[in-house]
Amino acid sequence: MKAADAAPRNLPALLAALHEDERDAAVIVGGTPGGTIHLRQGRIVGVDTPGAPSAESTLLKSGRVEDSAWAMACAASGSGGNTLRDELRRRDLLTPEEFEIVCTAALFDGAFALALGSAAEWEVRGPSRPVVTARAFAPHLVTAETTRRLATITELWGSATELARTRIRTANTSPVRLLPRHTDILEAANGRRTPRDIAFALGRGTYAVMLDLSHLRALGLIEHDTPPLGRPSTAPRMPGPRTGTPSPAAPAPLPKRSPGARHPHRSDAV
Amino acid sequence: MSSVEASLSCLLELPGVTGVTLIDAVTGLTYGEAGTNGSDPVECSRLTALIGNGLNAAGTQGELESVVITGTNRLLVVATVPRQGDPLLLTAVLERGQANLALVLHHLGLYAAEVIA
Repeated sequence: MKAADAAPRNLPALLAALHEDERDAAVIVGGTPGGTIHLRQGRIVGVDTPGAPSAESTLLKSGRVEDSAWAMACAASGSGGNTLRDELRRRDLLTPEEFEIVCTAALFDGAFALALGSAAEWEVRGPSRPVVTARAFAPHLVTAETTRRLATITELWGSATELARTRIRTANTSPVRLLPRHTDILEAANGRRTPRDIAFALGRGTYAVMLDLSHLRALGLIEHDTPPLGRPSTAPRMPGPRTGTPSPAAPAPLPKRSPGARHPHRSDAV
Repeated sequence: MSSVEASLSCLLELPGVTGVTLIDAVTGLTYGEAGTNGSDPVECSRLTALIGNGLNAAGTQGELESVVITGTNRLLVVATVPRQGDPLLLTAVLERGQANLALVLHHLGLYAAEVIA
């Protein structure tokens, strides 16, 4: 029996087993935020999750690459054996090193965002080619870095899971000299955005934004409310009662039975 | 070998350079390394953040270019690589008796300009 066929006790154990078996797979992780871990020959090549910006999102939102140029490079890649990396280089949009850096940053940031959820459920499926990949990493390297990141946020802020749910707003304090990226965060923190929302708005990593938020909190430049206890609700959203909507139609009167009448839904062959 | 590590290896050809690392200045993540005697990426990012924030508060925003730590036998050079997005750090470990610090700083700058920025 192969290592991945035995029931793993947690996600890192599953990834270690898939690494040992050198599997090509996509691991669908349930929960909030959830996501997909892409593996090639047992090594992690990408992590897609709504909890952290992808490499594409980072490049486009930060303005490093224009939308139209990116779209053309994506469309041209694959033809003639050209990879997206080759195409970006050919069009003088990104050097291979830059492409690799952005993809690596997104991979580890996605893994960190996945770790903020419970990750109690998963499903192993066949490989699905992620759009943007560069370098592959052994799962234990990703797990070790994720553990370090969680410990760092816990040291600087408190619970990383709680910070992920916290909506941040700028404090009313006197102006101080800040780095441009810190100023950008203060401008983006409008009281409705969580760290993940700010990361998407600025085209930066969720973990990097959390680190900067910890620094800004230490300076007294941001405020936040205590997030609701427990994990975010994952209950399906049902439309609530709305004002101004017409009341349901009055129930139609029930049909009356007439003695001797035929009941078409019943079988006559009794 | 990755693209980053392949290009970093070229810096090992400089006399006295024994290890080179490319690090995310904010997260401390290592993007690539070449040679031996690499530096601690997390400590390098913490050190430069401490110095950079202090300089910034003193009114010298964005003026930190490099930090050189001098040991008895070795030098640790940490050069900042500003770019569109979070900055990077390019570190090099040098044998003090063999390396030319000015030459290494010059080549670190060239690498940053040609490959990363």
